Amino acid sequence: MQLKMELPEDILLLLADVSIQKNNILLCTDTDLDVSGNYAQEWLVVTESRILRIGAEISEHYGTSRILLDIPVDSIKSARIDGRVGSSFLEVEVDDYFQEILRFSNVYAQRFGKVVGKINELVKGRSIIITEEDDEDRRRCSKCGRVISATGGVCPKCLNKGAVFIRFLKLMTPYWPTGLMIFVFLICGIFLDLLPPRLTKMLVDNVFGGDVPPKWFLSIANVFDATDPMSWLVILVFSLATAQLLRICINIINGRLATKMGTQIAFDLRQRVYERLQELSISYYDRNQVGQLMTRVNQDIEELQGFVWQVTHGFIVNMLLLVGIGIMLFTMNPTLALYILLPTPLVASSTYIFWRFVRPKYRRYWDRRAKLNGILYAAFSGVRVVKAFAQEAREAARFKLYSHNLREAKIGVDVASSTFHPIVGFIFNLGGLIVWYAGGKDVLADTITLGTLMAFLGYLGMFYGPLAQIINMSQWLTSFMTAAHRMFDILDTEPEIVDVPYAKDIDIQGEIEFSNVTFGYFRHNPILKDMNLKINSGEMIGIVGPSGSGKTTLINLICRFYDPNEGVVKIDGLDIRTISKTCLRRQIGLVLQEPFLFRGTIAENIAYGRPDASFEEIMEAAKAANAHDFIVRFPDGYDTKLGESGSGLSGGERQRVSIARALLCDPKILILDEATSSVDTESERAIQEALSILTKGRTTIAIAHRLSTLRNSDRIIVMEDGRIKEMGTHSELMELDGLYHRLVIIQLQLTKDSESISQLAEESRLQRVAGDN
Amino acid sequence: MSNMCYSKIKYIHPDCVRFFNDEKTNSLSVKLDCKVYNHVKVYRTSPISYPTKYISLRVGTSSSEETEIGIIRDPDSLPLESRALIERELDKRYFIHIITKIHSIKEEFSFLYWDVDTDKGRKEFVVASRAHHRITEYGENGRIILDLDWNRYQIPDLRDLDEQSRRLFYRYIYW
Repeated sequence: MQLKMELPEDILLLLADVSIQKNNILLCTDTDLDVSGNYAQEWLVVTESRILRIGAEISEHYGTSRILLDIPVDSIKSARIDGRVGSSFLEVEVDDYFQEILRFSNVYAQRFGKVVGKINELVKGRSIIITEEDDEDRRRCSKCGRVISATGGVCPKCLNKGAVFIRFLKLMTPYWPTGLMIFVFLICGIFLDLLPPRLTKMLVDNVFGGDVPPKWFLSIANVFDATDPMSWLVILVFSLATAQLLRICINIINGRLATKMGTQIAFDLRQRVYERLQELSISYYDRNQVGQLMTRVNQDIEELQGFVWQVTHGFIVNMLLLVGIGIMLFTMNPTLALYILLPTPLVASSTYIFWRFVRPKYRRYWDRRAKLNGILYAAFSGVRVVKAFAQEAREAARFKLYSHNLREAKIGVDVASSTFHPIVGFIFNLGGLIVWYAGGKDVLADTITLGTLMAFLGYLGMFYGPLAQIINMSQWLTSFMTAAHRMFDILDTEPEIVDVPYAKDIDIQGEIEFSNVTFGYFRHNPILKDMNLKINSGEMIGIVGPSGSGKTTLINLICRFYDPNEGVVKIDGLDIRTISKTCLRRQIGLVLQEPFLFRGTIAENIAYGRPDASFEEIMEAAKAANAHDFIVRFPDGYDTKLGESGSGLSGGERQRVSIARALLCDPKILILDEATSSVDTESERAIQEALSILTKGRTTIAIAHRLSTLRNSDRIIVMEDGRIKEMGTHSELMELDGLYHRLVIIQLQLTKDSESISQLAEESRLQRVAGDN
Repeated sequence: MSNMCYSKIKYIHPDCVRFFNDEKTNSLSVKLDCKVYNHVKVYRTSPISYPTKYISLRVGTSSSEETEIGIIRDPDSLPLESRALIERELDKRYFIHIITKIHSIKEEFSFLYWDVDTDKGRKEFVVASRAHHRITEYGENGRIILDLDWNRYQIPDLRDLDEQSRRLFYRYIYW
């Protein structure tokens, strides 16, 4: 196991010298760097009472290991990882400073993340338990060790493609009638594709060449009373035209069917994935970036839609066509058919050359074109800045550079493709030349007919194109399979925060209690530490503290976006986990620093939490939130459409709409997370007024940087480093002369400075006015 | 404006500063204007444009508490021992591989597998292909490459690489 590795004999002996036996070792792992940053294996050994680093003395060469560091566990307060540029240090806090224990390159980052957690447990007096889970490296495939993309967590190499394929096909079962139709038409289409060269053969041999047509043809011809070559000609040309027409019809029908089925599949899957994503807990969103999730909902599903297209137009068609042509060629003349296969390696290598050498040049060209666009966009949208700093010449030079790069890339593309395509064209023609020569010889020797040769040439034209595409199939198949797997990955993820079977719907009174709560987004790095706090129903609590002190985390636990690692959060004396999630969140009103409004009208946004609210209720809420007047002034009033994230409103207006939204839900617990910190003073006043109405009779928890907004709180909690540092009313805390007092003084100083600035501005304005007069 | 004060960069004069090693913790201590700072960290302010100049001396146990004691314009103006101590601390902060030759780059399942010679020996690493933000420009003609584990590899100047290495690089890194 990574965290309990086998130590070499010489190191075990070395440890025995300092009275550490093998069975005393709780944790033992190696690192790849020494503290100076040279690649070297060093060891970390942790026992109940000591932490040691063992390695070769820097001045000496390999082979002589020494104990380089030996720290008693009881002198350690905590452990951490100090990430630096390209490598990190494991450090422990001793006597108010962090002592470097050892260094590791980032390859080991995950392992030492776990080590830190274990040491912190040990420091707290708990025992170290190492489990199989500690060995798990989520970035590498557990089977082949190959790195896996963070987005999917699936190894494309080891992915059981068959299983994924079968699962995907099972998803397709509701669409099987359409699928079957598509398939039947597909087979008909291929049959029609194979028909024309065969008919051409008869034209040449039987109509023009004078050979007797096969019996089956004669029996058909007899139906139409066609006995001479002229009438045969008419029948054959008519058949050719019918085949082509039917082919066109099938193309049209199949195209429509495929589009319908593909988009329906995409629509259904997208909805399923989206609904599952909405059910998942916030912690899932912490682990997965928004951008990646969007890719999954959009691109991956499109990739799956592409599957249907591939089936109807892509590789399956090509494959069937290839098999069909193969059968035709080999039944007509096996030797000549083998000749056709001669250029196949050349076709294969041309595909390889294209993807390896030509395609990258296209990518470079597209990238440079995008960069040039970026430069243009920046220069035009920033034209005021460019002119204000008189940097036109510099911008022109920059443009020239990027334009030059684009030109170079374009030359690269054109040179490559103008060389590649003629050569590939020649390779494709090569088969024709071979058939002309070898087949022509046979025609002269009378071993095959001219018609057979013509049919061969006809089939040949259809042969190499599909072949080149099939060679490239694995690339498409892999991306399809990984997309499908990523989708299943989401569909299979279970939400972490779920209601217990006996979860209740209750009417919340608003009493909140934290009892011995410890919580961290990563277990080894707790943000809230052993928190105890009781908030009475209807109380207004202000929370202050430096960033990272755990204020928002506290709120996240009240909303049950996460469950605590230890301890219990209670509402009205009940463990929060026993209250149903929906019921809990419906009774909590959340006003955030950056209020998030959705695309839709203002009225829809206000009624977001209570879509059944009447228009009058919506207006009441807006009025109480000081939003009614500005809304009514808009030409479309409450029907004003907002863009994404509420664009169209100012920051203060958005905030008031979000307060109205919270107010309409009539929450028992109200949470204000920096609700007024990003608006101007004027708006702040309006928002404060709105808030004073909103907070009445509700348990209110307000986080604020501007301390003046918290002055009316019943209690103010000062947080620092995940713990409550001070608690009391404003005046009590001022008397205490602690952290709160210091923060208030700093803010007063800032206010004075800003006041003196406005005073200065006013003075200079007066001077100007006097000067003008 | 009298009560407005602007923060200014404090440049440390070579004569006013003394560097010594804290034997117990093997960290850097600095005596500056009669005051001693322990556990001093050393950062490059502009690692690409001025890798050996403008060195920032910093104290504080975490990034939020960290403050700058001052900046040394040119460590070369300091005595040899002091320079060695600064160099040691810089080595603790920066761990970078300088690529001198590219043996191969292979693309497999959306990842690029690199095999390169660096100043720290031959190394193999993996970068997601088409990861524009992981392979970025470094100065005029160089590149910084961050592998999947965020290890750093640098090519100070692509023009200094041999022809084959450069070709390999450009074949896969088109941006």
